[in-house]
Amino acid sequence: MTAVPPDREIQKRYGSSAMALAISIGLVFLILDYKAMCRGIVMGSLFSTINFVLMGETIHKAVKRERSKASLSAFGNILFRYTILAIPLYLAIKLPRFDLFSTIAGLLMVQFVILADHISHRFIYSWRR
Amino acid sequence: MEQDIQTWVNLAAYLGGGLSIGFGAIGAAIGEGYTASQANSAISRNPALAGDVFKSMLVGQAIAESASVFALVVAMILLFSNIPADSFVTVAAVFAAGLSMGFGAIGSGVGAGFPAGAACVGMVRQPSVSGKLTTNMLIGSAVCQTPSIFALVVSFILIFSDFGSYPLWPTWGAILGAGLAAGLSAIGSGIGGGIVAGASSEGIARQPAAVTPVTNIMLLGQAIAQTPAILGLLVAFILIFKEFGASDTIAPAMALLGSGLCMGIGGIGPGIGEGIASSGGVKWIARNEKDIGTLTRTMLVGMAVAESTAIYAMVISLVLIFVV
Repeated sequence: MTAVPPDREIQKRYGSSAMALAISIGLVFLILDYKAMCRGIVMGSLFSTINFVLMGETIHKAVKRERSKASLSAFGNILFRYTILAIPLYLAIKLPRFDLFSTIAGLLMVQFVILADHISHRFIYSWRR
Repeated sequence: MEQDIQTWVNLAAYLGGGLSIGFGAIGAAIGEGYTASQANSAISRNPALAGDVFKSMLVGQAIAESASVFALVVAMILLFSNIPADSFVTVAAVFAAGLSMGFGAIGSGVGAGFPAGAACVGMVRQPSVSGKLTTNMLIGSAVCQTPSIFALVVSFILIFSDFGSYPLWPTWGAILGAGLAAGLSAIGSGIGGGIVAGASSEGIARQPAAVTPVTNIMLLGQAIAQTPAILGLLVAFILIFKEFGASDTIAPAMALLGSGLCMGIGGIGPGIGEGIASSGGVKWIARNEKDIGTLTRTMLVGMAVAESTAIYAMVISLVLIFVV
């Protein structure tokens, strides 16, 4: 069995946590009959996770290339990642099936999970101590 | 005539959208680049910890990117949503929304890079406290995002409010001024907050036992460094929500625009200056914990003096709104 590199492990951990949280919040919205908000938060979180995974992959690829090619590829990848983030926003603006504000919240789900994870660990650790 | 307003609103929204993501991308790119450069420096000192440094860099960059995501959100709304065009004031509102978010994202993006970079370097110096360093870096970076959230709030108010009943003169000046006040004043606070958080991560790496006082003083320093952005937000709210009587002359509109510019530009320096003052406090408290009282007092007095110029800017700004 090959060891998982730490950055892949962290992508997997935060990506899956963000999706799990989004689905849980989405289910609550679904129960409350806010279907557009449910779709928005799940779609935003999905694209947030894709962006986070691509961010790590970009760095891996850029490191292995020559300097000029690496700069060009890094720039291209940033453009690609921002285009990926723009897709759910475009859909939420154009289609009433998706709520815009919950899509925006979903796009920041990975960042929220990272913060919540570290802060909760810090408080749990100090409480146990 | 209706068609004319719609055309101008579209034009202003496209321009505002471009400025929002254009300026918004500057800060995040600088912050992320700085983090990566510090990560390289850290890895070259201890290649065995490359995995941990890489992980920390990735997480730090993800947080630093938040401000540019806000800018992207505003840009997409301006470019693709159907903004009702019932008045020429809306033209100013959508353009100001783009300006507010674009400028507002610069400081937070740059600022968030400092703690992330310092955490990468600190992790190599003190591998045993990498968890505490990452937590401190994340808290510091998250607080750095506050000024960009203020700018986002002002942008949303400008986009989604109905200005149909407001007179064009002088409201357009007030609306543009609001966007400039919130956006420009956020630059200094974002950078200043980042400087404090960077010093905090560095301090924890030097003296891990001082993690609690250093984190507390970092939060205090960041809270004070946010003041110019809060003053900018206050002036922006006054400019948006105060009703100004119709005017036939250009002077009132210029006074209101000048008010926003005054608070916006006047808030940049104090935010950065307070960050520098606070970073000195945080840095030396880590090394000399027993003199925390004297160091904190000196830091707070220094920050208060640096803050005074933002207060002068706010006073002149209020004079321009209420007196002139």
